[in-house]
Amino acid sequence: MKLTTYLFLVTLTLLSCESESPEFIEVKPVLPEIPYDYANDNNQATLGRVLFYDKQLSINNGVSCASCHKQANAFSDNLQFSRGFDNRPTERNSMPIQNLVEFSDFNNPDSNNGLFWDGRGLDHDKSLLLPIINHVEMGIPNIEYLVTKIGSIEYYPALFENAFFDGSINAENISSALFAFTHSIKSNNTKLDNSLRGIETLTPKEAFGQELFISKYDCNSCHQVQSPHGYLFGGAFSNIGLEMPYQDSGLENVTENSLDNGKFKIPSLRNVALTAPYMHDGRFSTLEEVVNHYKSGVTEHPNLDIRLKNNDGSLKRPEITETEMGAIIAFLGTLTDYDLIEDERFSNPFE
Amino acid sequence: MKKSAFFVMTMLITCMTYGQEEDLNTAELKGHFLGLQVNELVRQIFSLGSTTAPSNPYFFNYNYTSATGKGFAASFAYSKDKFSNDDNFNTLTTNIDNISFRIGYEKKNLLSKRFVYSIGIDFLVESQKNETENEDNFSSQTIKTTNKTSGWGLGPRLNFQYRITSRVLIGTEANYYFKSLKEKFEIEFENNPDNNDESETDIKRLSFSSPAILWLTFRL
Repeated sequence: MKLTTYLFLVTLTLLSCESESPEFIEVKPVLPEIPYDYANDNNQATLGRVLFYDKQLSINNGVSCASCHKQANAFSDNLQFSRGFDNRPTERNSMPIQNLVEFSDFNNPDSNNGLFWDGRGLDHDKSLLLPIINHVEMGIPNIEYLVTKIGSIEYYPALFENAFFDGSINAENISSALFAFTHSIKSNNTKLDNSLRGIETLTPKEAFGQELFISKYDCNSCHQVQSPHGYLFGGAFSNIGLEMPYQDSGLENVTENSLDNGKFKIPSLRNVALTAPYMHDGRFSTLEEVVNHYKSGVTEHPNLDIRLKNNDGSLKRPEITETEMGAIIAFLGTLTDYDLIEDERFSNPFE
Repeated sequence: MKKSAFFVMTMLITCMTYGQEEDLNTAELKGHFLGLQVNELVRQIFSLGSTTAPSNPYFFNYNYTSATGKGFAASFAYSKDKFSNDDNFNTLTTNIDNISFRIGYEKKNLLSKRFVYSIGIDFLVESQKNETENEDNFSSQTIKTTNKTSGWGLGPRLNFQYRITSRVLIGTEANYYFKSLKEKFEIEFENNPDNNDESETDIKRLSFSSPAILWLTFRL
């Protein structure tokens, strides 16, 4: 009898679980009455902010741009390989979004100002739509589908009316709004910036790390940490000997030039303490691992950056001590802009 | 891709040339062998942290070698993953099933007393199913997507092994496969079945796996 009662109760519990349907909560953007002040047109940037965080820009409403570009991580992803609308991994780690205006204005005839690791996305405006129509990332089949979908969402017509003279919902206006938002994201309030402005002082350990970074180990020959865009006039792509052969050809995929095999965009080190994991494939999970790569892990490659070689062509193997390692990492910590990650103008507007 | 093909070809030619320099007895290689991929184990033991996931999915390998060094090999891979992301806006749940199998002919040779290489050609079949359900607060409905990818492949494989003892070997492999796959995508909207859609795509690609995996092999 006891068994029958027990079985009856278990069956009842299971049935009640099965019949439970998900409870949905209404989601809508909450925006300030007077738009925030952005570097670009305020109404366009406001619309761009809503688009950037709106998961309805993916095929199954599962992910938004912000799913892989998280404000807490300086608009990069803390996953080795960012995941798309159906949790499939993409092929690369997401790059941070910051100071894109300075980067696009960085006029070096030899350099490529593309947005992605491999130099795609020279046209920043149009490139912002590429992840949306990528079949792994956000999965929208084509631009027409995107325009129709956005047009059917109740809060967008008013936002487009405010942002554009013609008020129309089309691909050009969508990308312009995303451009206005993403190119307003500025990071220029780090401890290093403040020390250069003379309003803050680096600790002795950080100052020692700065000396090692800039002078002794010349990391600055690739990473111009004191400039907003973070580059030197020597080309923005480099093969740093991560492997031989490279699983991912990098810049060669775009240029079809074998001399570009294994070359990837040199990332700006602004907020580097927040943007782990590191490299195009997120292979290093800590800054220690990155420094160790330059210390002893660089692999010979025909396209290896000459800055990683000695004058006789041999690989540089700098003998970085534990103390120096700690100082370099402390210095890299001074590149963090804590205002950026808490700035309401760039935060999620949905509630 | 051209570079990868060149790399594999160079390795093959090097092995064939070098392998002919010594008169070593391939009869020593005769037997049944069982191999296990130990990348994850090595990473755990040596605390290597995260590195790129090897593009070679196989974790189990059986091989028979005759006294002439000729034989066949079969490898198998299966994985089942579940992911769930939850925030105030949606709950995204994904189930991924992945199965791969390959079988091939190969010829083993001794490079020296301890080093063995083998060259082979494989035929493979693989299938992946990704089912994702999104409980979506934006449109107050559940949206389900299913992505099935399956097909076959063919291509050369090169293995290097070091004989730790006569029964235990450690080695790696590189392969270069042509794959012909069919991807079927379906999307179902709970509230708007009229919007349900499906599409099919044929994919043909060359896939190169560098020697990034470690096989621990035992003679049975």
